[in-house]
Amino acid sequence: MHLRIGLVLLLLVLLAAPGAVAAGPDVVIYSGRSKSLVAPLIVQLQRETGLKVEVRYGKTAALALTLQEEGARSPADLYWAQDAGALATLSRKGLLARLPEALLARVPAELRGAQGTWVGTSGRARVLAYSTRRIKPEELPKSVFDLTAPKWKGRVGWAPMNASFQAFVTAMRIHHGDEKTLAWLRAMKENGAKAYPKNTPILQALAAGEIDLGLPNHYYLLRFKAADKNFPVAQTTFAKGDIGNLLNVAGAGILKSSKRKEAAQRCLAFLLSPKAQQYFTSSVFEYPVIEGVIPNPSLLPLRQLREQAAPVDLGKLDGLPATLKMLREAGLL
Amino acid sequence: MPARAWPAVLCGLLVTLGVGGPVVYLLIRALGADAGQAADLLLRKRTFVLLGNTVLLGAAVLLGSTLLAFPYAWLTTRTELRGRKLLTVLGTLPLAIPGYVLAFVWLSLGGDYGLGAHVLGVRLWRPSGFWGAAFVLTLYTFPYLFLNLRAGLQRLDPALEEAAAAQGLGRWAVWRRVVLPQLRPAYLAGALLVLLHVIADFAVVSLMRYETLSSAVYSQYVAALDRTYGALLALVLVALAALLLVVDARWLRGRLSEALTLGGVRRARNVPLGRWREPAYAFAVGVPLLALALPVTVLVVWMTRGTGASMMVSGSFGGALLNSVGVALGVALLAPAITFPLLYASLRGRGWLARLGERIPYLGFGIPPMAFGLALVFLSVRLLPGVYQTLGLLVAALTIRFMAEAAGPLRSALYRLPPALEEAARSLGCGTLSVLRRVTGPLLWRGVAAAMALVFLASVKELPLTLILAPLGFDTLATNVWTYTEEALFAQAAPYALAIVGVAGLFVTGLVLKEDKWA
Repeated sequence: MHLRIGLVLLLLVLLAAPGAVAAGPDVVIYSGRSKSLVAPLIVQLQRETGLKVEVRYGKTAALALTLQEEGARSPADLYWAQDAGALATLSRKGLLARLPEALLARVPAELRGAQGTWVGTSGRARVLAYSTRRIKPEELPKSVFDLTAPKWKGRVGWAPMNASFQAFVTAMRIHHGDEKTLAWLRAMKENGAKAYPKNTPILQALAAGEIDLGLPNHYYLLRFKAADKNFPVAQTTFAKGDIGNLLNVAGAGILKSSKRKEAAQRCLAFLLSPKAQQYFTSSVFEYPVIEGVIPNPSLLPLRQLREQAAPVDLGKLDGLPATLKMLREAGLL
Repeated sequence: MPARAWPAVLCGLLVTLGVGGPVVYLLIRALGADAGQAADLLLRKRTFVLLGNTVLLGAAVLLGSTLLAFPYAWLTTRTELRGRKLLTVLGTLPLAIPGYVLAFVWLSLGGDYGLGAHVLGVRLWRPSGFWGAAFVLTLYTFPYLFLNLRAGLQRLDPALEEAAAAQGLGRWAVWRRVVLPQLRPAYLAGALLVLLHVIADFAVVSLMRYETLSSAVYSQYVAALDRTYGALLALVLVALAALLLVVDARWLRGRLSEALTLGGVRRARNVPLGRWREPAYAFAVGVPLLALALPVTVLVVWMTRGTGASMMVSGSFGGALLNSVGVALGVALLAPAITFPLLYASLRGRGWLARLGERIPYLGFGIPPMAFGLALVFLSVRLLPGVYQTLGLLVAALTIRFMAEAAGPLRSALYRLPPALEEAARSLGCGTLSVLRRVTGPLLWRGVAAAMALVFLASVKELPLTLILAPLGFDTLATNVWTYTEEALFAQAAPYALAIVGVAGLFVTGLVLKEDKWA
């Protein structure tokens, strides 16, 4: 009896399996941006453009690897990544198509790829986060280079495996040269910097008292604060022009293999529209990449941030392989 | 035999293709590596440090889970302890909580600002490093051992123990000389899963800031977005898993014939606990409290905190639930179904092919999930483009990957099945299906149930393969947990995580309740 039911169920599963392919969508997006953040935006995108959009949500890195394996046969049209590094890698491997000038022109030159294959869709800042219980604002280091001082031994948390952190290291290499960067990485390790797998655990560790300073992206704290006003962590920037104040982007590009490039361009245009940009800053706590968006009052104003930031051209942040080699050399990866 | 061999041959071929394909893919990718660069990457001090860390952690987790699982399995099968069925279900369910969620739970309990400090006013230990990783992984993986040992204990023939006791052996001597040797296959099956899990784990160790070899694999794949050297390092992990499989097979060999006693097992007498009553209850309640009740409580606290609880209701909760249950049910039926004929033929057969057939289901579990997923992308896009991004491919992938979870309990059950019994049934005129239904089935049912439970738990929380291989727009409870956790939205992640535990609980309860009908 049970056996028969089991066999019937088995058969059903097998039969139902291939039937899952429905009528084709107009555009397929591979999104490394979390569904929890961008799903409402996708709904709006479909409404505004009238396109039927299917999204494959995943990890930015896994999607980039999947795209490489799929190659010319990829079902994807648009790749939306959490960080510029993944876009630059795919661009270097020749998987991304050049975008039309009209799209590129919407975004400032330093927030898009040098080859014109990807644009930033929202900005995120590297910040200095600190425990409000154990650190007084006047004690805070003025430069990311001060973190190697004996005073901070064992008190700093970072995320060497994280793409945003690696972009920051690349920026440091461009700005200060390889020698100084490697020396800094080594000194940090020497000084007992604690390595977390990503940003969220850095903030939790700050609250828990495991570390006193951390180097995360800016928006995670805002989410912790939204859930708990008393969360005992604050964040700030380093002194003006310090490389620790990098402005980074999440961005998107269109696959060379796409047969629906026009539709994909319309999607990308929507992501750069004032409506979408407003959503990024108001709901996702990120920075808009176009002008004319009402700032989120809980964020440091973009203008001020850009004044604070070291002048680094994100389009040139293509030095990922060399950065990784350096991180390995420093014993961090 | 030949007339009955075709299901085994067919399953053997499918399994070999399923496991061999990804290994071939890894070899293809790794061959693209530049020798000098490969040497730089592999032959540095760090690789050996990480290898040492992996071995050390594996040993610690195995020791810890043995200390938990052995008494727990014995208490819930052989004693007069009340609530044995409930405790069985509770002792299984820690496997339903995704590893990284469990790590986040423990991280959020300790420290200055942890739940311990908030609720109890006490600063609790915040696990990290080697001890943190060993602690969390032990609580997470001991059910592998527990379920295998339980299936083993239930199949023991009490007559042997009674005979030994009648010969004048004391209780401990009976254990050491009669029970433990018979439990060896079950123990090794569970231990193998625990160790393979530790080798493959990245989520827990990375959150505990302890680096193992899998950290090296992930840093190639995730940080460098590099398929070539990622594959090379993945092969190192596969080799480590293969080595473990060979060693495990050596320990097993020679024990098999000893383990084969006549079937028709009668239930063992329930041992009275006597003065061990209180400690026994404390242990039997304490383990699920620590491994299950505590994490679930934390999840509930997360859910009630934060402002975004309404988001989850508006989301695709029902759809995700259905998708998760559908996939997990399919895999829980398929994985044991495909593993069984293979093991059956291997245990009855002789020679290297039989030995290989018995080992190969485990190898799918030894391939790092990221590499496994990319392999299936590579293979299906090139060879079978029609199945790429279909539900069928996802179910097939999970089936191959989780055969290892089914193999242990099935193997334990098969050891207890004397060929003479089937032959007797056959000589009395039973057909193949009839033998299966009336003779083999009832004797194997407990093993099959344990196998299905393990596979269901693994599938319902599975994340990396689902993310890479699922059809477009297909989301599960596990992908929802991940998408919220990733953005530090723990309040929104919690209901999905609780739903996973709930669904798993229902499934395992159903299996445990069914046991009596068969036994």
